[in-house]
Amino acid sequence: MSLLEIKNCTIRYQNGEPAVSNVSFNVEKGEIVSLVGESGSGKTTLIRAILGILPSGGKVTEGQIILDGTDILKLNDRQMEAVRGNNISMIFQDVGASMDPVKQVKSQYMESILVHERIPRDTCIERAVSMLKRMHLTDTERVMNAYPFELSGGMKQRVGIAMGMTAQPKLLLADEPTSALDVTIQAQVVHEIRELRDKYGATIILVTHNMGVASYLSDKIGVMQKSRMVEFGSRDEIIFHPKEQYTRDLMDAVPKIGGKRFAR
Amino acid sequence: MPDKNVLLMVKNVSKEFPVKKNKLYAVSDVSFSVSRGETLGLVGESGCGKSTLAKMIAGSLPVSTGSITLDGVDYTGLSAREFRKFRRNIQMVFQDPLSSFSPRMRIGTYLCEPRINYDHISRQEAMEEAGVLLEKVGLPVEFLNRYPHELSGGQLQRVAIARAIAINPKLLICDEATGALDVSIQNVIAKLLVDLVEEKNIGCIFIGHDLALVRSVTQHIAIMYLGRIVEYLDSETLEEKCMHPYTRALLEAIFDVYCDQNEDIKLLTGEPPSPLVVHKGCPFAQRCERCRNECLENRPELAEAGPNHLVACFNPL
Repeated sequence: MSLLEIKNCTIRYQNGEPAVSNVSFNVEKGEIVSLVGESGSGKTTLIRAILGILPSGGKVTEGQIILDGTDILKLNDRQMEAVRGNNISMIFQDVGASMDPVKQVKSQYMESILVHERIPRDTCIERAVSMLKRMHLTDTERVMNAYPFELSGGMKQRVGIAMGMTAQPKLLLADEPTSALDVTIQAQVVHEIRELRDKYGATIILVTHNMGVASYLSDKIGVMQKSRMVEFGSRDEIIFHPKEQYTRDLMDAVPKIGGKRFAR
Repeated sequence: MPDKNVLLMVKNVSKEFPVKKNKLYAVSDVSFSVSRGETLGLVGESGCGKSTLAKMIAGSLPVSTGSITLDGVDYTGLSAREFRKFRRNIQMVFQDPLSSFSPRMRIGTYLCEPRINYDHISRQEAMEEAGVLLEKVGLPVEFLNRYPHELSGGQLQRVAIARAIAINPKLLICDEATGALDVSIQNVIAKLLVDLVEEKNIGCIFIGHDLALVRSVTQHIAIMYLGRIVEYLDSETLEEKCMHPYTRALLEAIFDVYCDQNEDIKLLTGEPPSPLVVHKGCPFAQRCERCRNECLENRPELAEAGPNHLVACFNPL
């Protein structure tokens, strides 16, 4: 059985045109699946629906989202709260913006753990520190006592990933986790994401517009265009033998070192 | 060496910002030139001073030391009044088109504004020109009556470019002008810029962090690190000829679409040092694999490494 099954999902905002129409795919345990496509293609809407955090007016009007055998669309708010954080967690594009600017990392981190579990403060900090170390943040003392503005973009992103992974969720959703970062820092974060899967067996759905990052990390890739999933397949199929013209165009459009130049 | 074709000369430009009792060195001793019809790429990570440099060249930020000359005129010392007239020579295109537009101004009005302000032509005349400009950037004339929110990001960026070239500037500065756009639109805008620079024979500075994209639209690239240019070279032979370890690291950090998944990523550890501290040695030394004792003691100067090639490194590749 797949860890996550998305079946004929259609998502609409205020009964308008569907933002996601009739999308189906499966995610197996321990896989990294990337959703790629241009802005407005519906990839973010889709993963927000998995976590049940669609913006107001957004609703899954048809289809099922089945996590480990349970249709999470049928859960009430209370049950869904238990799923979030424990079973599914999410890393956002700009973790810095999703943090409280006037609270130290330590207190935010503890809050995110204590929401789900009643454990002593010490255990809580221990757990946070070991998770930060896994993300190669060596100076954990400083990071824990820092306010978000005292950390660099790459560090904040790692704190965000560490927070998301603390409860060892079955599924990690990452919405453009490297897009706001500089290229050398992006490479570091991509490396951490890869390690989460290789060392700790995490299952990850990655939304990105960076075809290179998707190609390096993914086992499977789904290409979205104007609310539809135009192609879904293994990484090698999509990258080396794309069937759809759109996928080919998307790949050609990526600027490459040693590729064609416009300037003369 | 006064070259007739040289349009912009940046000479030993530095910028310091006072921070409490300290000084932040945003740009230190930067020199380069841009010829007519040439596009120069400025590449570096956030905080390396590329936008500060762009603002100084555009004249919206005074330089601390050094001089900037456009067409033989040093404009770093101009009075506000003189500068107002001079400003038309240099135009900028920004990253996020939607936030640089007034939401309640129609595209037509937006395009007319510079011509009316600088050349005092009639509104009707300006509107006719605006239509021509729109066609030039590949948009239908009907867009004159639209509002910014009715256009897509790529279309808006074309309008921003149209406005920038409306008053025939000599130099165009594009600060991450394609950064917020999807890859397919990015290429269209990049091509449009290249064509305009060539057709109008103007100079262009293209700032970006995507080395592959910058390479595709420029003739020369300057790589910046912590306020300094560390390498300057031809775009076409960037990959084969680059000598600075930082340039190499930037190249290696790009994920190729056809990459081998089993290959380890070559990681550059750490982050750039704080610009608040003055470093004795090479600013890149702490992150550099090829660092030697010399690198910790002295700072390498930008020196010639070949034709059109400058590099600041004691132990280049």
